[in-house]
Amino acid sequence: MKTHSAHPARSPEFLSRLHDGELTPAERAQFEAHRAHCAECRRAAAEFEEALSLYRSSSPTPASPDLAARILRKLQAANRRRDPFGVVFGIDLKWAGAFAAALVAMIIGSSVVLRQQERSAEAPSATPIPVRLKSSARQEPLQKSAGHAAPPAPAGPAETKAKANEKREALPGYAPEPEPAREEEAASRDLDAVALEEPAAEPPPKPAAADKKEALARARPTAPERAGGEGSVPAAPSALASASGTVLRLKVTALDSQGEAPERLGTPPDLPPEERGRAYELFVDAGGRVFDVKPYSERRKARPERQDAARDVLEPAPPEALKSLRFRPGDRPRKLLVRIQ
Amino acid sequence: MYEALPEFSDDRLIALSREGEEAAFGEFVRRHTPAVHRWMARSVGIEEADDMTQEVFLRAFRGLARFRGDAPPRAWLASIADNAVKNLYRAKSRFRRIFAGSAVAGGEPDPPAPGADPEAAARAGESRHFVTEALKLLPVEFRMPVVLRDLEEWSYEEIAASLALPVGTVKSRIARGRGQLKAILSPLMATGKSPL
Repeated sequence: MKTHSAHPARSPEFLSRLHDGELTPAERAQFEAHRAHCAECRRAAAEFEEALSLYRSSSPTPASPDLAARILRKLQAANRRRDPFGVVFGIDLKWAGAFAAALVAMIIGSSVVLRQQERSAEAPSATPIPVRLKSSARQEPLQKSAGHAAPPAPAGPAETKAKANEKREALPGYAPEPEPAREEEAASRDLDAVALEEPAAEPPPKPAAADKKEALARARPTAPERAGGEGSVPAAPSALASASGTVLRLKVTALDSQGEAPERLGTPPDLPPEERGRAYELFVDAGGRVFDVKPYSERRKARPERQDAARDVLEPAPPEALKSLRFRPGDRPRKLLVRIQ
Repeated sequence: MYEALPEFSDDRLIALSREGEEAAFGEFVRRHTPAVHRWMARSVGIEEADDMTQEVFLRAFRGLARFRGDAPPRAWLASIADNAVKNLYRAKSRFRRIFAGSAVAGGEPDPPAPGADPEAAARAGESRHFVTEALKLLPVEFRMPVVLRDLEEWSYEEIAASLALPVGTVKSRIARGRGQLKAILSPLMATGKSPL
């Protein structure tokens, strides 16, 4: 700085301020006085001005007249290229997306079709499981007892087939085709009828299906009852007369492990005939009064978590009459199983 | 309206351009192409001036939405030009580092054009060429301030606003740039020999 203060023209900042006229009057006067007898500063200031003059005078080659037009063409081209939305690397994303979606749908569809074909190929080897609706089987005897001669219509395709058979029967010389499902239904209906009309009668000699065995067990009131599991002791079934005159029996066993079921007291409740074959859990307090009734199911007992939802939908509410049952008071609450036969 | 566009101010042209009026931006380009080309010819040389001018207007067009109107449109253009020049030399520096192995600083100037004979050219009176080549020896951060001040005769305040720098920094850069110009051009001025 000492050198610069001694020779201010050595500083480009000073020369720049001198060139721009930004020196204060005092600075200007001092430099003029110095420059008058300093050749170095005179030369430096002169070269500085000459360099800037050369710089300004040597104007570069002007732009070509069509440069602006070329730039505008380029801008328009760039703007057009940017116009279509979603075009990346020359690929229109809309069409690419549609193509990808179609490809995915085709792959999924083909896999579904192949799976269905595999299933249809496996289907003939599978053994069909016969299904019988319990509700229709239960209602049939009631209708019979009420004097309805016409059989109840089976559900689903069997119904249409039955109607077709009825029409054909009207034609002379027509023999209807035997239907396995209807035959089975007829057999179970027979069993129900036996149970209804003759509660103590012996079961049919040769039941054809598993559910027939169940019906047989219901029709055999004297057979020892083993349902209820541990600690249950069969109690003597008691006969009830329903409103329609059907004789129903209640078989009470113990579900808890507190010995045999307590003796039932009082008059039997009036139960509707469709309750036949159903079983309920009775929750009896120490005074012998029923304070809760729940439907009982062997399958639900086995896998309660999977059956709860279905039970809520399919199983009917327990009859209120069961709550009027009275048992001999004990020293603790009991859990009992009552089967209506 | 199109006939009146040449009479519109830069601010109005930019405002119309932001509303999607392409003709307004076209008028803005036509109006400022000579100036931007001058800046670029001084900053990067006449060979790349056309491409760089085009680059500046492309960037300006893409950045229309970001223009806030704090500074005049030509100052906005100058800032775009300054960034374009810096990016160019940054890319060149990177290129040299990779392919030539030379550790060139970002502000280091380009070498002189191959085959150039400055003495003969000076004798032929082609001082313009030498000045242009000499300017390439200026550090890149000094180029646009010197161009805007000594060629375009902008005020320090306008330069500071366009380059987003304090006025003191702008003054310092211009002074140092001028000093380097003097150092580069003084041999040519004294002996007629090019410093290149």
